[in-house]
Amino acid sequence: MYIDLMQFLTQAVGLVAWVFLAAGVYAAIEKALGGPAQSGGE
Amino acid sequence: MESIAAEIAFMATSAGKAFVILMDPMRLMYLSAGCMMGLVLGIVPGIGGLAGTAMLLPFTFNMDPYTAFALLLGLGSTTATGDPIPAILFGVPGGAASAATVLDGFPMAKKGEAGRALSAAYMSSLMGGIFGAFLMAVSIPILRPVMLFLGSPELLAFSVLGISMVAILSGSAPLRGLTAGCIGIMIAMIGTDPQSGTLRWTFNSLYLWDGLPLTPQLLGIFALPELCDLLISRTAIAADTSVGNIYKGQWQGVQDCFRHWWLILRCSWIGGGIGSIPGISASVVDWLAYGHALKTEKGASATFGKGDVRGVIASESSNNAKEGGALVPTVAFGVPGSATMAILLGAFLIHGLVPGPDMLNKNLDITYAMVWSVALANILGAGMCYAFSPQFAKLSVLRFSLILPAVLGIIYIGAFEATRQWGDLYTLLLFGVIGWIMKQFKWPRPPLILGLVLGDTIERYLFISVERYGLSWLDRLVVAVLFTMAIVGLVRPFLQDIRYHARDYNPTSAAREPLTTTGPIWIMAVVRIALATTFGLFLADLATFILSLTSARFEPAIAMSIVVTCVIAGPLLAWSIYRRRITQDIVMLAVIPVALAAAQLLPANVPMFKVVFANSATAVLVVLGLAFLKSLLVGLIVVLWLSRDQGTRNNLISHVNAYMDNLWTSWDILKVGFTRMVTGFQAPRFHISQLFTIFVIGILSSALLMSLSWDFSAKIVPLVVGTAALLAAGLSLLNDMCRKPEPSLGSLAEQAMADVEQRINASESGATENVGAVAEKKIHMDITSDTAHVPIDILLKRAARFFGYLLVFMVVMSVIGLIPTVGLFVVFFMRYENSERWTLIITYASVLVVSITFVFEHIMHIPWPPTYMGQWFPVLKMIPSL
Repeated sequence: MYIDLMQFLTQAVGLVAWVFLAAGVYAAIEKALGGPAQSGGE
Repeated sequence: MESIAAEIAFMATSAGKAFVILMDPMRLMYLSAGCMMGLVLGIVPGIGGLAGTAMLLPFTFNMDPYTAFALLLGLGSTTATGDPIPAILFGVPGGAASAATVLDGFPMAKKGEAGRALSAAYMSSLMGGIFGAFLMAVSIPILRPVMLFLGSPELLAFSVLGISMVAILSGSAPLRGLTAGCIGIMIAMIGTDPQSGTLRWTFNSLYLWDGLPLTPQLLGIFALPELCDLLISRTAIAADTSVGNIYKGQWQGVQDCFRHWWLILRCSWIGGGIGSIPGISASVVDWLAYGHALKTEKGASATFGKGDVRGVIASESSNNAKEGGALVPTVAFGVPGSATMAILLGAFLIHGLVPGPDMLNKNLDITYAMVWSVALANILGAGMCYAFSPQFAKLSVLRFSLILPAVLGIIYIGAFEATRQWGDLYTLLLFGVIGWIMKQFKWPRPPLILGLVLGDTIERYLFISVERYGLSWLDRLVVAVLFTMAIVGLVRPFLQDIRYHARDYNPTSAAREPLTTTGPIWIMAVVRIALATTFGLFLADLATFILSLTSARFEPAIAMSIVVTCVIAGPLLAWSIYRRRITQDIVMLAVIPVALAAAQLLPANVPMFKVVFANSATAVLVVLGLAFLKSLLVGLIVVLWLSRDQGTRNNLISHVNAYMDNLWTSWDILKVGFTRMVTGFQAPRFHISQLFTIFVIGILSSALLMSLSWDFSAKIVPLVVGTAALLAAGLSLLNDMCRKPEPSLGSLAEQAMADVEQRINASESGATENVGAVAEKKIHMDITSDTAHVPIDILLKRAARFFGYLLVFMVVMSVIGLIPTVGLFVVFFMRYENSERWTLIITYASVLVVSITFVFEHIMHIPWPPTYMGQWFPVLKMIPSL
C-alpha cells in the first residue's frame, strides 16, 4: 500500500483551511442577520 | 459407508481450509473492523445493522469473497450484541432486536445491577451467536443430499416462496407487502432483456441499459429514510451518561448465563429456527423468546419485568442466534431469511457466486468461511463489549447533528461506487424519497429489496425451466410442494380475516342440537390413522430411497416399510388418543395401525418410490390417494367388525353425526365471515396515505401498458408480475377506503408484543401501585413509531428540508467535488440545525474531511464523480474529489 504522504498533508492542510473559511463566512453572515438560528429556525 | 467417510472428509477439509483462509491477518482485521462498526451502529441511534450493511456493501466490491463476507457478517452478527447497552442503561433499545431486553434490563440497572445485566447480555449474545453458527454448520451436511433434487425449477419455486412469505410476514399488511415485492421484481427487470435484447423501461437513457444498480437502491431504501427520521425526531437516546460503575457484578452475569444454559439453548433455538424462516424479522424474535421464557421459566410471571436476569438472557441469546439461522436458506436456496440477508445475497451476486447447490459443493469453503466469520465475530464482539462498555455507552448520547453529516458523506461515496456515474446518485435520491414514504405509510420495505435482488434470478430460472422441461416443470414434486406452500401462505391471511369477521358468531344458535360424544370415536381414529399410515409409508419410502442413494447396493425391504410406518404412525396415534382423553380400548386401537400398515401391501406390493421419484407431483398424488383408499378400506372392515355390538354401533353413529356437525359449523363460520366481510363496506373515506397507493397503481398501469409492445419472451414475466402487483394494490386501496375501520390482528411482532404485555399485566393486576410501571412499559414497547410524536406539519417541513439538503448537496458536489462539499455541509448543517459550538464544528468538519480523504483517496483510491470545476480548471484536480 503506497501513500503519498506529502500530497496527503498538503491536501489535509488545504481542506482544514477550507473548513475555516466556510465557518468564517457562515459566522459573518450569521452576525449580519443577527444571532444564530435556534434549532433549525423553528 | 465409504461414501459417508468421503463426505465427512470433504467437509472437514473445506471447514479447515476456510478457517486457515480466515486466519489471514488482513481478513481478521476486516472482520474486527466489521465487528466494531456493528457494535457502534447497534448503539448509535437511528442507524441499524441493515443500513450499516447497505453502506458497507459497495466497499466490498474489490475484495475477495472471504474478506467481503468477513466484513459484512462481522457487522451483521454484532449489531445485536451492542444493542443491549442503551437498552439496559437508558431503557431505550438501540435497535429493534433488543426491545424486549428493556423490560428486565432497565429495572436491573435501576436496582444498581447494570454490570450484571450487561455482562449477562454479552455472554448470552455470545452463546446465542455461536449456537447460530453451529446450527448453520450442522445444517450443511443435512442439506447436501437434498441439493441433489434441486434444479432451476426448484430454485425458482424457492425464490417465489421466499418473496411471498416475506411479503406476507414482514408487516401487518400482506397486500402491500405483495405489491412491494412485485414492484421490486419489476424494477429488477429494467434494462436489456437477456433473452431477446428488448430494452425494457429504459426511457432512451443509456444509464438504464444495464439496469438500475443495486447499491444506490439499497442505500436509498434503507439508509436515507433512517437518516431523515433522525433529523425529524431529533432525539438522542439518552441525555447524559452518568451510569455509575458498570464493571460491578460482571462475573455474576457470566455465572447467570452458565446457570441458565438450558434457557439459552432453547432461546437460541427459537432465534435460529425463526431466523431461517423468510420474513420473520429481528423485531419479532426477541419478543417470541421473551414470551417463551415468561411461559416456561419457574416463577417468571412474578419476577419478569421487574429486573429478572433471565429476561435479559432470553431475548439477547435469541437475537444473536438469528443471524446463523438466516444464513441457511440464503446460502442453500438463495432465499434470504431477512432484509440484511437480502443485502448479503446482493453481495453474492456482485461477487459472481450463485447461491444454491454450488455453495455446498464447489464453494463449500466460502460457506464454511461464513460460519467461522459468524462465530468469530460473536466472540470478538462480546470481547469488545466487555472491554469498552463505558465508551460504547457514551455513543448513545450522540446528537443527530453529529451522526448525520458523516453518514451522509459515506452514503454518497458508497452509492457512487455502483457504476461510477451520476445516475447512481439520482437513483439514490429517488429511492430515498420512495423509501421514506414507504416507511411513513407503513409499507413493508424488505419485500421490495427481496424483489430487487431476486428479480433477475427468477426470470433466468423461469426461462431455463421452460426451455428444459416445457410446462412439465410445474409438475415436479418439490416445485409443486413449494408452490402449494406459497398459495396456502397467500390464502391464509384471507381465511384468518374471514374467521375474524365471524368471531362473535355463535354456531349453537343454529337449529341442529349438539350431540355429545363419549366413548370410543372410531371413525375419527380410522380416518386419522389412515392419513398417518399413508404419510408414514411415504416417509419410509423416502428414507429407503435416500439410503439407496448413499450406497448403491441397498435394497429396500418391505418389512422395513411396515416397521417405519408403525414407528411413525404409532406416536401420532398416541398423541391423538391423549388429546381426546380416551382411556379405554387402547389395545384395540393399537391393533389398527398395524392392520392399516399391512393393508398397504394389498393387493400387491407397489414400491412407492419408483413412481414418486419419477418426480411428478401428479403421480405422487395418485399413489398417495391409492394408499389412502387402501388404508380406508381396511379401516372400514375393522370398524364394521368392532360395531357388532349394539352399544358400540350407537356410539359410532352418534360420533359420525357429531363429526358432520363439526364440519357443518366450520362451513357456517366461513360463510358468515365471508358474507360479513363482503357486505361490511361503507362509502369510501379518503386518507393521505391512499395517494401513495394511487400513485403506485398509476405507475404500475403505465409500466404494464408500455410492456405490451415488447417481444413475448421479454414481456411475459413483467406482465404476470405487474398484473399481480396491480391486483394486490387495487385490493389494498379498496380495503383502505371502503372497509369499516376495525381493530385488526396486527403484524407478527405486534401479536408477540401484545402477548408479553398481556402476561406481564396479568401478573400485576390488582396491584394498583404498579399502574405507573405498566404504563411505562407500554411506552418502551412502542419503538416503531419513532416520529409519531412530531406534529404533521413540522414532520413534513423537516422531511422536505432533509431531501432539500440532499439535492443541494448534489448540486454543490457537481461543481466543487464531494470532499469540499462535505466540509461546507458539516459547517452549515451543524450550525443551522442545532447551533453547535464553533470549536466543535470546526474540529468535527476538519477531522471528517481529512479522514475521508485519507481513507477513500489514499487507501482505497476511489474515483470521484466528475465535477464542473475540474473540467473548467484541470489544474485544480489536485484538490481531492474535484
